[in-house]
Amino acid sequence: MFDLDKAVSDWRQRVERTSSLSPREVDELEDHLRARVDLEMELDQALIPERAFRIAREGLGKPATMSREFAKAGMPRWRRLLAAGWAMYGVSFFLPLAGEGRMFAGSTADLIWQSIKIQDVAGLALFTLLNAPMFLTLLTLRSTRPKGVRWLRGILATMAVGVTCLGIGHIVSPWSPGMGTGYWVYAASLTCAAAAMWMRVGRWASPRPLATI
Amino acid sequence: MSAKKASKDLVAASSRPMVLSILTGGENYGYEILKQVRVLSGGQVQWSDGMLYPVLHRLEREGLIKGRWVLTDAGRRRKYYRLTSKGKGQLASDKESWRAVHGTLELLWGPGRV
Repeated sequence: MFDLDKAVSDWRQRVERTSSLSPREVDELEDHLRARVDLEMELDQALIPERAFRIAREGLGKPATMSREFAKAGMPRWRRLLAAGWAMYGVSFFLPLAGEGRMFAGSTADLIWQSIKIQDVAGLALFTLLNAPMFLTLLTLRSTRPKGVRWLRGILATMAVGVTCLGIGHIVSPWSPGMGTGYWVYAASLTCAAAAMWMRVGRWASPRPLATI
Repeated sequence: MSAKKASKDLVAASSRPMVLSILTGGENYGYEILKQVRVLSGGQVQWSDGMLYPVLHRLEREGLIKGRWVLTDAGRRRKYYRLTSKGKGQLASDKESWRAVHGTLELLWGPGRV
């Protein structure tokens, strides 16, 4: 026998698995689906629930089409923030890393180039390790699992706080010439990426109803 | 004469003023908005079920409407939308533009023109 709740639950699982819609968006579509089923059965008393469900489901369209329609409606705020973080991250490579008077006052790009020239494997490995979290944010664009993103958010937030504190330490230290522009832009890029991940996780959280009607 | 359905482009262009106008009547949710559009247009403006929600989310992102989740009597979560003051301003501007278009077309299609 047809079980409407089970059919809706199966539909929901399929949408969550095959689309990039957030649970909040799917919540709203589920409410719509149920309301449409109710209406179809109200309009045609002879209609069996299974048929009403099929009409309602087809009315909403395929999960991939729904994803595309939502994407067309505009980039979510977390994506814009991540894009800003990546733009700053890219620019930071070409700006001075340390303050003037430092032994090394070049950019990160110079540092990488020198490491490649002298085949400093340890230095390059360290660089890769420190920058891996930023690259991992790209995977979250298609991710449907919040667990990994929560970890990434924690790592990026820790790095952002650590990098900022280290920079402030250099500013207040009378023996240090401070950090260069590239360093601060890098710190800002980490902060933006951490904030974007924070918002990304927030989109997965199921909304708590504020009122009853 | 049978009623013709509005073109896709026209439906898309009119979606914002339509949603904002419906919300001037008070808080409402997706499905009810869709039903009102169908009824008011006599079925000539047909929005697909899946098309409305991206529109609502875009308007919310633009700050023209604001959503809040409520628990219905049936125990279901439902998102209600209301018009913001920015939305009211946008609607006033949209009304002016659509009236200008409508007025121009009325003159062009008036007696002796078309």
